[in-house]
Amino acid sequence: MKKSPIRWSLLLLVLAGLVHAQNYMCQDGTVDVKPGTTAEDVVTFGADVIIRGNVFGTVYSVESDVTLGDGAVVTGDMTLIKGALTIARNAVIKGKILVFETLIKTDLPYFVQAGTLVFKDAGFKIQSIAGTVDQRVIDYLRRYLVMPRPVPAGRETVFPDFVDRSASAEGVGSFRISSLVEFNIQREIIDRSFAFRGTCDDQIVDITAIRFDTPADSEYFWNKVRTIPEARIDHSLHISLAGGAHWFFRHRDSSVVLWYNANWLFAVEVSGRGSAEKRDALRDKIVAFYTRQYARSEP
Amino acid sequence: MKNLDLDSAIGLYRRMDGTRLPEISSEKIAAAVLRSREKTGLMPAVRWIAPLAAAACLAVVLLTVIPGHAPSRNDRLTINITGYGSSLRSGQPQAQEFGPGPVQVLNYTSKNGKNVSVKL
Repeated sequence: MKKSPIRWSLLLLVLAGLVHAQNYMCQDGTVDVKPGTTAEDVVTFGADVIIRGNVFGTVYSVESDVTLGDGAVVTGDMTLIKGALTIARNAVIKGKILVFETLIKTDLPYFVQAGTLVFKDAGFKIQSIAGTVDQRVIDYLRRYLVMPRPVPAGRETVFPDFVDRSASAEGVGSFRISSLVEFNIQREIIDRSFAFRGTCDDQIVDITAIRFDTPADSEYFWNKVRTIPEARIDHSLHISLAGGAHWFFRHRDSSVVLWYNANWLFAVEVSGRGSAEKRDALRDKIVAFYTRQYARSEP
Repeated sequence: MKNLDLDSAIGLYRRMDGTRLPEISSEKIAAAVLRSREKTGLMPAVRWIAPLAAAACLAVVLLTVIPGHAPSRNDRLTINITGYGSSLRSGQPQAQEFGPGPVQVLNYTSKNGKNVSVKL
């Protein structure tokens, strides 16, 4: 069967849209996937999400109002927690939909079968998980689900000015995360890397920044990092949606955050005696510093 | 019984420590020892080293196949990891009770392995 130029053009448009697909990570704002545009992943907390274009990745939204308008096509999965979901008649959802304490608004006919809303005509199901979500989990998601994963645009990183530096920058051949794991890396594959140590408020601050040759290398390294057993840590939140990944956790006397974005991997560890909340606060202050520092950077 | 010649030779030697078998000379004992070595092909010390070496090889193989200990196979990037055991992963979207308290965990894993994982 001969394909018409229109079909080829549409195919090219779709491919072009995939190439330029954007990741959305938003807190307390608005995400608008406009008609004719394509998004990869959408991650939100406390946001208004309006989807009228294509999402070929995942939608993960907490305390958000998500609207699938006419023409919306979500190819990936949707997970909605303590929010609202509005579905227009012409919306298409191809992935799995999982909701926790979420209000669903739609004109589409459906029936309920074992906790699942079946939209037979529209061709999708919504699995609704019974029970309430622990407020502590919601509070933790509020703090750490959305993170800009800041990285420098250039080749060098900086050290927070509010931390007393006790060691000079040096290349990284190996680095350690808490007392959990040590990585030994071939020096020659790392374009530039930095290791800093300092003290602040009687806490030791270790910052490691590694610039890999390619984003694929940093992702590869992240997959190694992710083999740290979650059973060994607590207060952990890991998310690898929406381009790159970040991971906050505590281990013994350390508060740790790791993130990667494009070629860069950052590791910030605050360790010392005192309360875990105090260590968390300093760690989060360092993350805020980097977020400000690299706010205008494009990795 | 592969060291029969050696053992019996030593035994005879011990038993003849007095005068019972004076006809067995030290040359005969040495010859019996030599035959024994030729038969087994191994010195007594070597007999210990061989199984130890095999056990060491097995340990290396086991450590290599355990996730997290395996050396990287990436052509351009080599990362060696030390310090912990195997990992715990979630498979499908799930709600779990975790730990002693009623802390609900909302985990999600996409088809391509991207995930959200919360553990308090």
